[in-house]
Amino acid sequence: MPARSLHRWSTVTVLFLAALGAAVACRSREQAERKEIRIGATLPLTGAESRIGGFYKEGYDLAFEEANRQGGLQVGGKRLPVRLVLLDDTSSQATAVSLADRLVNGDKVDLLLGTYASHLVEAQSTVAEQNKVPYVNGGGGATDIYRRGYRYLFGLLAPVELLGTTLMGFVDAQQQAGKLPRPARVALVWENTAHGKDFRRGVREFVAGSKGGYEIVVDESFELSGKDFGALLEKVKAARADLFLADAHLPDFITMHRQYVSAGLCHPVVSYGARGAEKAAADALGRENVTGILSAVWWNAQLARKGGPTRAFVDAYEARSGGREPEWYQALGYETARALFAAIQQAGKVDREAVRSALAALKLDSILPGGQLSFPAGQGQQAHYPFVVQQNLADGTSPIVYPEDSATGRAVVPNPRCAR
Amino acid sequence: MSRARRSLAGIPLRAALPFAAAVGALALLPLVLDPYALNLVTLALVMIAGALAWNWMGGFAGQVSFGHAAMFGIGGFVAARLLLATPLPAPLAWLAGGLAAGIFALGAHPTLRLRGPYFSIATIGLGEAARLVFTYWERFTGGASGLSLPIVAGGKEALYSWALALAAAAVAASWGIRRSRFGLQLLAIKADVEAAADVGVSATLHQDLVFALSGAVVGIAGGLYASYFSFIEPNDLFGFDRSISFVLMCVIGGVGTVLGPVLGAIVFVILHQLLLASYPQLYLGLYGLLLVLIILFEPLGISGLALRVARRLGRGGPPPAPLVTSAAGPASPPGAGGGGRGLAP
Repeated sequence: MPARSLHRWSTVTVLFLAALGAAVACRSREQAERKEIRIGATLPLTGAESRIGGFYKEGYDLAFEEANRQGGLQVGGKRLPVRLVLLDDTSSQATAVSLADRLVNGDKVDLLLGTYASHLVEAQSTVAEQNKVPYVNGGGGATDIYRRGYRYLFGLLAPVELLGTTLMGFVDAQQQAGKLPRPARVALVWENTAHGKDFRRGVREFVAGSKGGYEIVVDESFELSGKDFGALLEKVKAARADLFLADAHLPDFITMHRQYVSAGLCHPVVSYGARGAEKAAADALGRENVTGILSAVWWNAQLARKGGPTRAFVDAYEARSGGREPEWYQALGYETARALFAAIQQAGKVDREAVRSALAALKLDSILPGGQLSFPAGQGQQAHYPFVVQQNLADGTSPIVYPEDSATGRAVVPNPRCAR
Repeated sequence: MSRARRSLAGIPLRAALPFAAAVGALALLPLVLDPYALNLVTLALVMIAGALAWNWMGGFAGQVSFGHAAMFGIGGFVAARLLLATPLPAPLAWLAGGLAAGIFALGAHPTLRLRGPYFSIATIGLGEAARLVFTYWERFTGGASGLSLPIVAGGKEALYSWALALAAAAVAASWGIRRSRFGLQLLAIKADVEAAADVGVSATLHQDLVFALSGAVVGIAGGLYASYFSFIEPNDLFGFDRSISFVLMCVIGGVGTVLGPVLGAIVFVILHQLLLASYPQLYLGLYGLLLVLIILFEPLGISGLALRVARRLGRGGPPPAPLVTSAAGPASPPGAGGGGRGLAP
C-alpha cells in the first residue's frame, strides 16, 4: 500500500509539474511582431508607501500619455507606442523583487522603470542586473545602491548624503547670520536603512568640518515603518538640542511628528530630511503643526518660474489634475520615464544593450535643478544636481529658501511655531 | 533475490523508483521551462525543503513552531555574509548557514519544556526577538536595507539543481525519519509525552535533536533563498509571515505526512505568485480561507482529500499508509499536541 500510494502521488506530482512547464513554455514561444514598446514597473500602490507610490504613478502616466500623444517613440524610422505594465509591489522588498522577475521573465517587458523608496530600489535592482535589463529609477537616493558596480542601474535622485550636506549648508548660513547659537546642539535621528545612513553621513561630515560650529548630542536610528517613537523623542527632549534633524519617509515622518508635537517638543530648526511640505502631511497633522519645518528636496514646482521644460511639466500636470500643483514625487516619476524614453530614441532601437549605452551617455535638458540630467559613471550612474531647501510657512506656502539663486522666499529661523 | 527486488537500502523499490523518476523528470525541467517558470519551480523546491523540515517538528513531534523564520533568516544571513566575505563555494556557505541555524535551534532548548500552544507562543517570541536583533545588527545584516549578494552569470540554473537536490534530500529524510525508530519515538511524544517517557523515550533529547535538525535544514533553505534572490533583508527572512508560511504549507498539504508539505509548498508558491501581481493583498485572505476549510473538513489537507477521493473511487484500499499519514494521528490538527484526538472527521 505505501508503494502504491507513493506511486500514485509521484505520478500526480510529475504530471502537474510537467503541465505547468508545458503551459509556461508554450506561452514563452508566443513571439509577436513588435507593435509597441513595453516598459515594466512596480510601485508601492498599497502598503506603507502607497501615497507616494500613487504620486509616482501620476508622473509615469503623464510621461506615457505625452509620448503616445505624439504617436509614440521614434525607433528605427517609425513611431512605436509605449505601454506601461505597472504592478503593485505593496511596499515590500520581497514582492518588489518577485514582481520584477515576473515582469522581465514572465511578461517579457523590454525595459524597466524603478519603484519608489531606496530600500525597494536596492532590492529590485538586483533582478534587473541579473537579467541585464536597463533599470531607470527616480525613487532610490541612497548612495549605497550605486556603489555595487551595477551596469544596468540608473538613478535620478541625487545622493541623500548631499541632502544632509545641503540642509547643513542652510543651517550654517543661519548660524553665521546670528540666528542660531554657536556651537549649535544637533539631535540627529535617522531611519535604519541605506537612506538614513546616507543622511547621517552627510550631516556628520559637515559637522566634522565645521570647526566646532556644531555638537551632535543625539545620534540615534529607528526602524522603518515604526509605530512608537516615544523613547527616541524622550532622548531628544532630554538633550536640549537646537537642531532636530531627522531622516524619515512620509509615513514615519507623520507618525513621528505627531508624537513630537504631542510631547511638547519644538526646536529652532526642525527637519525630516526630504519630507515636510507634503499636502498629505499638512492634512494629517494640521497646518499649524507643520509650520516652520524645513525640507531639502530634489525638485520644487517653484522652479517653473524660470520657464523651459519645468514650466511645461507643471502646466501639463496641473491641466491633468484639475489645478493641483505637483510635488517632487510626481516630477521625479515624470522625469524618470522621460529619461528612459530619450535613451530609447537615442539608441534608435529597443535593444537592451543599446539602451543601456544610450543611458550611460545621456545628456538631457531636464526639469531637475541644474537643468541637465546625466548619469555619471564615476558616481555609479547616479545623477548629481543641487537640492533646494524649502520651508513651510504659516500661510500654507512652502517657498524655496536656499540656495540664494533659487530662493523664492525668506526663511524664518528660529522656528516660528516655538514662539507660540 | 525477491527481497532485494522489493527493497533498496530499506526503501521498497515501488517507492524508490517513482521518487527517482520524479527527481529525474524535475532535473530535465530547465530544458523546457522559460526563466520565469524555472525561477518559480526553484522557489517551490526551496520552500518544499523548508516545509518538510518544519513538519519534522510540527508534524512528527507535534510541536508547532511559529518561529522557524528565525532559523531561515540565520541560515540566509550567515550564508550571505560568508559569500560576501570569503571565496567559499556557495554550497559550503549554505551548509554553514544551516549549521548556524541548527545551533540556534539547540539554543532554543528552554522553549521545548513547553508543550502545545505554550510552545507555539514561545516560538512567536523567539522569532520576533530574532527579527529585531538582526534588524538592528546592522554590521551583520545591513539593517532594514538588507544585503546585496554578488550576481553570478547563469547562477539561477545552478541554483535550480541545488534546490532540487535539497528538496529531494528533504523528502528522503522525511521518509527515513518517518519509517525509523526515531520517527516512531517522535510520534509517541506527539501522542502522549508522559506515556512516551514511561517507555523510555526522552522527550527532551528527541525534541532537541529534531528541532536542531529541522532548524539546520530550514537554515540551508534560507541560504539557498538568499542566493536565489541575490538580495536579502531581515524583515523578509525573519518576518512572522515567513514563519506562518511554513505552517500554512504543511497544513494545506497535510501536517504529519511526507508528501503533504511538498504539495502544500507547491500550492502555496503558485498561488502566491499568481495572486501577487493582480491581487497582492488577497493571498493572505485566501490562505486564511483555505486554512479554515481544511481544519473544518479535511485536517489532512490536500493529501487527505486525495486519499478520500481515491477511496471513493474504490482504489484507495485500506486506511491511509504511513507514508502519507501520521500513525499517531492522521487527523491531528496542528497544535493539538495530542495526536488524533482533535478534529478527526
